[in-house]
Amino acid sequence: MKRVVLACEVNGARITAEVEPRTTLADFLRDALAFTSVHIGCGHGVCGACTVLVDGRTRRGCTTLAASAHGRRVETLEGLSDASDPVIAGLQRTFLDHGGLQCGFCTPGILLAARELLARQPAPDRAEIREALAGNICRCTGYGPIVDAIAAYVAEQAE
Amino acid sequence: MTPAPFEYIRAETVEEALAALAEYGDEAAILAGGQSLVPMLAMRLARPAVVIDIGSLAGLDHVARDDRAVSVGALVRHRRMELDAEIARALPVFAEAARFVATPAIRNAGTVGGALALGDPAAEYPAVALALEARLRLASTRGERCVDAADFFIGAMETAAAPDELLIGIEIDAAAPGDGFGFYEIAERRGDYALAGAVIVRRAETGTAGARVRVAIFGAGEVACLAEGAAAILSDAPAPAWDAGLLQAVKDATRDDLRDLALDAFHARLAGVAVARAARQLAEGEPNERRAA
Repeated sequence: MKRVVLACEVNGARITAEVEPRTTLADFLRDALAFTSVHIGCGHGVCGACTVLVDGRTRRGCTTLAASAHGRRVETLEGLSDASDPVIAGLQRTFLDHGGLQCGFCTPGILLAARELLARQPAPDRAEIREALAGNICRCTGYGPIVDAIAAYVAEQAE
Repeated sequence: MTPAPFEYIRAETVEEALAALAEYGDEAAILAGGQSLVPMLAMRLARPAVVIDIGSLAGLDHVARDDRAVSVGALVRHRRMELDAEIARALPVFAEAARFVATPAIRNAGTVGGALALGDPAAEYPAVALALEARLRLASTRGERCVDAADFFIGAMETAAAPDELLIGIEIDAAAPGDGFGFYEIAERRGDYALAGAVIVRRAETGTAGARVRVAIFGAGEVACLAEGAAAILSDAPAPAWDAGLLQAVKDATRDDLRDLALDAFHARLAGVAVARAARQLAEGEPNERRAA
């Protein structure tokens, strides 16, 4: 199959690559660029573990073709880590404090989903937090500690 | 999961997309937001020879309003339908339905045109289009035509669009004073496919006290459809008279309307419940449970 040219920005760096058309954005970010926060769980858009940002909005990496990211700005959790993003840094701290993760497989996607919620609604209630996480499956925590962690971050910000 | 190989065409204009469709027709699949197509590729339920990516082309992502109607481009994302102020004013039932489409990251990607053109019987928008009497604009290298929603959805994943036609947008008469809507969806879990859902639109008839009510069903049958018997009952009685007895009659009428279309008796029964609850919402102006995601 003819490969296609992909030019985009990933975590602030300009990338030019040739990809097979069938390569998903999630596979490209992991395999070609080694951004391994992009976890591939279900591979067909259900679990949310491969969540990334495309032009600032959450997006499923597994249901986006890499070729479709041409000309766009892509960010993974790596691009927002190490205190470069205050919301992610704060959430990472409250997730640790409240047991918001166990195996951690779902965590990158959940952090990005929570960050998107907080950008739109800085003071969500628990129901709104759960709704924002509806597209992210966690098999360890039962979700309660995740909601606790996000609610704790919200409470800190209100102080 | 890796899709089978395919050729990829990145269309930068509508004309390029139409030319590619004219060349490949049945062998091509249109990729817009990709939230249905890419999973179908991954599971190899779809194996097109060519994928025509229209996701980045300019000119189909407008929401425009004139005196009478709202025009929505095919590439408007669900998230915008959910949050756009103009949609909330002019097509409030569409904004409400958009909140029930999958989950937030999918709503950031999926498009109005994609959700309609797929013709998924469990999807919200085909029923919304039926209830609102939407007009769907189809384009090909042969020209453009407009198809009423009532003539567009033919069967499961089957529409009136020809293989070389692209859905480029929809037009819908804007809500007027006295209009109202109800929307109710029954699903096993938030964001999952609907087991049954109902969309009710009441259009006030100018110059009279009367109103015309349309009821559309999704999820319960092979294709989104109108429930005309249920709509007739709701049209004949003013909303304050929608008591428990009348809603029971509406449930029964819905099941009757779906006699030949429902997947089974269970889905027909759920559709009746959805219509009754949507009717109560319309009568009481009571919003669905608030969601902020």
